[in-house]
Formats: sequence, C-alpha cells, structure tokens
Amino acid sequence: MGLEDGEVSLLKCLELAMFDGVCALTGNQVGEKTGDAREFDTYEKLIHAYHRQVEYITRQAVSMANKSQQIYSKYAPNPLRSCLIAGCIEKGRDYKSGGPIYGHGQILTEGIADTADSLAAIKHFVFEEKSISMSELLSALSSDFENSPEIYSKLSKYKKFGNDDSYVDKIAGEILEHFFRYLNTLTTFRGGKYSGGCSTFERAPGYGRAVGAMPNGHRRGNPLLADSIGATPGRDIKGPTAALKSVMNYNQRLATSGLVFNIKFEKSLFSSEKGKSSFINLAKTYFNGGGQQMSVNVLSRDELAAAKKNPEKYKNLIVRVGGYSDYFVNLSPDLQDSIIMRTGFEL
Amino acid sequence: MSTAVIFNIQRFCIHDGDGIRTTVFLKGCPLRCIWCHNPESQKMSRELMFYSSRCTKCGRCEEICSNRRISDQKLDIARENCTLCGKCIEACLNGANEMCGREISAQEAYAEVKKDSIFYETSGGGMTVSGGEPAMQSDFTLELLELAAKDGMSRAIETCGYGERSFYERANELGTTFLFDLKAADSEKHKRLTGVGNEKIISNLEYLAENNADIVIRLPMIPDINDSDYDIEKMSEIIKRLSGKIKYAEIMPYHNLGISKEEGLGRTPLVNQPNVPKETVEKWIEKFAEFCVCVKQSK
Repeated sequence: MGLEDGEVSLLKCLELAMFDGVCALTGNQVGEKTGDAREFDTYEKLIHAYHRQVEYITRQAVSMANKSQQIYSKYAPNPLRSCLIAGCIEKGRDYKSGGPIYGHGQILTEGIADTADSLAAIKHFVFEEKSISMSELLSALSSDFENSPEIYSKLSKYKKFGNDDSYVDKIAGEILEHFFRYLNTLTTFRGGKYSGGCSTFERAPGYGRAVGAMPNGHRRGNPLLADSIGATPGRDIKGPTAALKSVMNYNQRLATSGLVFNIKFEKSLFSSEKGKSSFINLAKTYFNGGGQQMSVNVLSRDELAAAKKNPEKYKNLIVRVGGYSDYFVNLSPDLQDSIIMRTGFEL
Repeated sequence: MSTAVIFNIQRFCIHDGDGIRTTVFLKGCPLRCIWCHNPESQKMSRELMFYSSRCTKCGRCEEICSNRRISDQKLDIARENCTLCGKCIEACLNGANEMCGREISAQEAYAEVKKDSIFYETSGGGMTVSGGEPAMQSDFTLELLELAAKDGMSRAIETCGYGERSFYERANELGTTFLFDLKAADSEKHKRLTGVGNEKIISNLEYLAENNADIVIRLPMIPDINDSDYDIEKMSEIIKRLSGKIKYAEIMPYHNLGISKEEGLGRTPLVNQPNVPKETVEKWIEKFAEFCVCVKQSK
C-alpha cells in the first residue's frame, strides 16, 4: 500500500545542476552547490551534478513527506480505509501509522521526457558536436531565448522522447532508473522503503510554470510539460507504435508505485473494424511488453477546441487524465490546452 | 546492397494491407496521374518543399540565398536556380522549408521497418513498399522483400503495374501481396489521365493472376474523371475476367490532401475537387454491382 507522499520534478533538478543550485526563476540557492556548469568538460560531469541535485531534492521531499505523514497519522486517521487493507486490523493500527503488511511510501516524479530531451540536446550540441558552448547555452536559457533565436530553433528541432529514438529513450530510461533506485534507499517514518512512480494527473502545468527556459526548447514558465511517462505534448510525431516503444523502453518493473501512460486517439480510428482491431493489438503489444497502465481518450481535436471555446455546449464531455476522469469544461485553461496538444493520432 | 531515394517511412499504417504495418514510400513514378495525392513522389530526385503558411517573411532565408526575394509580404523562390543545398532549411526558424527525398540503403530502411516487429507479431502486419512506384527502384524493393521473406515478415507492395515483368516475377516468388492499381480500363483514356497506356499494366496483372499471386485490385475513383458508367462497365469486365484469381477489388475514393503538397512544390494542382461524399461511393459500388462485380470501399 503506497501513499502519495511527495513529488520531485526532475526538470527542476536539471535546472539546478546547470545553475549551481540556483533557481532560475527566483535567483535563490535552493539546490546543492554542484559547480559552475561552464567548467564541466564532459557530459558525465554534468550527469554527476544532476544526480547530486536529484538526490539532494529527493532527500528534502522525503524528509517533508515523513513529517507530514507523522502529522496525518496522528490527526487524520482513516479507519474505514484501514479496515480494507491487509494487516491493519491484525496490528490494530491505522494504515497511515504502519498498519499494512507492505508499508512503503511513494514519491512520484514529473518531467521525465522534458529532462531526457534537455540532456540529449546538451549531450549532442555541447559535448559531441560542440556547436553550442555551455556558456552560450546558459546565457540563452537565462534570457529565455530572447536573444538567441538560432539556438532556440536548433534545440526545439532536435530529437525528442516519444519517437522510438534510442539516443533519447536511453537517457530517459537511465534518469528514471537512477531516481527510482535512489528512492529505494530511503525509508519512511514507519520503517518501510520509498518507491517511485509517475502519474502527473492535473499537476504537470504547475511544474511547467516552476522552471525557467530549458535545453529542450521549454520556454520560461510554460505550463506544457510531459504527460506522465509520455512525451512532452505535441513532440511525439511518429505515431502510436513509436510512442509506445519509447515508454516500453523504461524498466517498468522498478516503478512499484505505478507508471501511467496516456494516449489519445481521434474518433475516426474506431469507425472501422480494422481501426478497432489495430487499437486492440496496440494495447496487447504494450502489456505483453511490460506496460503497466494505459489511459485512453477517444476524441476529435476539433471537438476539444470547440469545447474550450463553447463550454456550455460540452458540459458532458468527459476526459481521462491518468487514472482520473473529469468534465473537460471544469479543467483550467492550461490543462485544457495541454490535453488538446497531447498527442492525437489520426489516421 | 542497393539504395533508393525514399520520401518517408511511415509507421502504424493500417490501410496498406493486413494488420499494423510500416510503409516505405519510394520516390519516382513512371505515371503522372492528374489527381496524384502524393505529388512529391513523382520525381525520383530530391525536391524542396516550401510551406507558405509557416513562413513569417522574416528574411533569414533571403539573406543566405540569392534565389529568394520577399516583396509585398510574399516570398518568391526562383526554383529553376535552386541547387538543393538545404541552407534555407537550417536558416528557417519555423520549419517552412523541407527537403523531400533522401537516399537510403535497403538494409537501413529494413532496420527502420523492423522497429515495429512486436506490433506485426500481435496484429499479423508487416512491411508495405509504396511510392511512387516500387518497381521503378526494383533492386531496392526486391532486396527489402527478400529481407522480409527471410524473417517471415508479411510483405506487400502498392504498384501502378507499370514495371518490368521480371520484377513482378521475382516479387511473386518472394510471396508478396500485390495492391495493384487499376485507374482506367480504356488505354487511350489511361494515357490521357496518367501519361501512359495500360497494355503493359493489364498484361502484368494477368500474369500475376495466372501465377497464383496474392492480389488486391485498387480502383482510384475520381468524380467526373474516371467514374462514368462506361468506365465502370469496362473496369468491371477486367475484374470479372480475373474473378477467382484475385482476393477482392476495392475503391479508393479521391481525396484532396495532396493539394497542399502540390503548393509546397510550387505547382498548381491539375485536379482540385472536394472530398468524395459517402453517397457517391455507395453509388459507385451499386454501379459495379449492376455489372455483377462486387467491390469494397477501402477502410
């Protein structure tokens, strides 16, 4: 039984690694001092700094989670739910106080694809091709690309997660594995282990707003951030099989707190028998290949755009985001945009 | 080791044969159908595509290319002087310029096709070679088909039928499904619409039918161009003659998605009609039925 105890934005950790622990939005020192990135002469040194930032921020998240869980267990027990979880009745303890047989804690993650895309771009342009120096990159990021349209264009056009490209997908797999393995070394106040997962639900826009410009072409404060374990919305352009291959590349067995994959299809796919059977075969292949969860929306993009414009006409339009369904018209404009942008595979 | 000029490798194609497929689109076609929906596939050489809707007239490409001039909020390209150097593609911040066509070896293309093997296994899909015309770069196409045959992967080609007999012979030996176009039954008319007569095409089709090939006949139907009662009667005769030797025949109704690509190539489309409504397709199917031929609508 996992508890949703906290969440870590990997993209923010990369920002901290690039700016020696300083937040690009506020100028405050919020991370560790991991060194001036302009002096990193190899990609490995950058990754080392990034790992240190992730570990530092994760320890902070865990320490806060442990405190808040202690408070919850004391002041907000949940006897009904505890009755339904094995171990609680036998031990006479609430599920928040260590009653369950498996008492692990859960820290979720945000921005995996954006971080992988950013690292891939840095690796390629700064360390391999050497066509952009780290100093040029940092100054472009600091100005939110205002004075560097060429750098912005290069970075935005570069390969992205979600297209079955091993260069980026490998990095995504590595950063997720590092985060999950590190989490497993930390313990909850109840004595259990922490485990990782990723399901961004409605929270991704908030994490998008909390980072400055990034090397994947993310503009400062842009709410558009990767949707759970999938691509940054609109960046997976090779169709559903490629998008699925990218997320099948993760070591999903490590994610004991669950990995959510959202995929959206236009209505037209389901208008023919061939379309329906093709969808079934996509899902079968994903689960045979170790996929944990797939949330499916069937909509037309026009329908969503129309719904945003005339909410009164679409009061009954329900969308699924992760394991969560809501009325589209009740969502914030930011989240509505991110759902409209989120891959809609047409045929 | 053969190479070819291709313009796309598209994954999750579900209309080009059984199951989930990956389609390799070859550049170059011996026909010039006036309604062509892949106009960028006609010439075998590389071509520059320019999408004016993405152009902000910022002048960056004008600075580096003497063939480009912005006047009255419009970008003019002297295409006859273009050397396809590709510098405009790098200069553009909005992706308004694209190069269509790249040379690739059969091995490389096949490696890309194989990326979706797990989906073919689940769905009974595989590889389709299309174009353009796969018979025009026959060494490459046959090598792809051989590689697929060796792996037991399902393989199909979409062809206009205007290739050398030896190509169809070898492709059939390799256990290929032929998605075979029939554009007009009358040779004179075929020549007016596509630039070539249809004798060679019909002869290849009959050869394949006689040699137990796996054949689907595809009928691109364009309103007021090849859909008269007479056209349908003549096409029905051919289909009837081959009955029992083909899997089925299907109608591919005209659509206008190729128009923006014609414009991207700096050309004016020869046929520009609205998409075909469902009722028209039903009417065609009824007409074929009057001549005792059952055709499907492509899905």
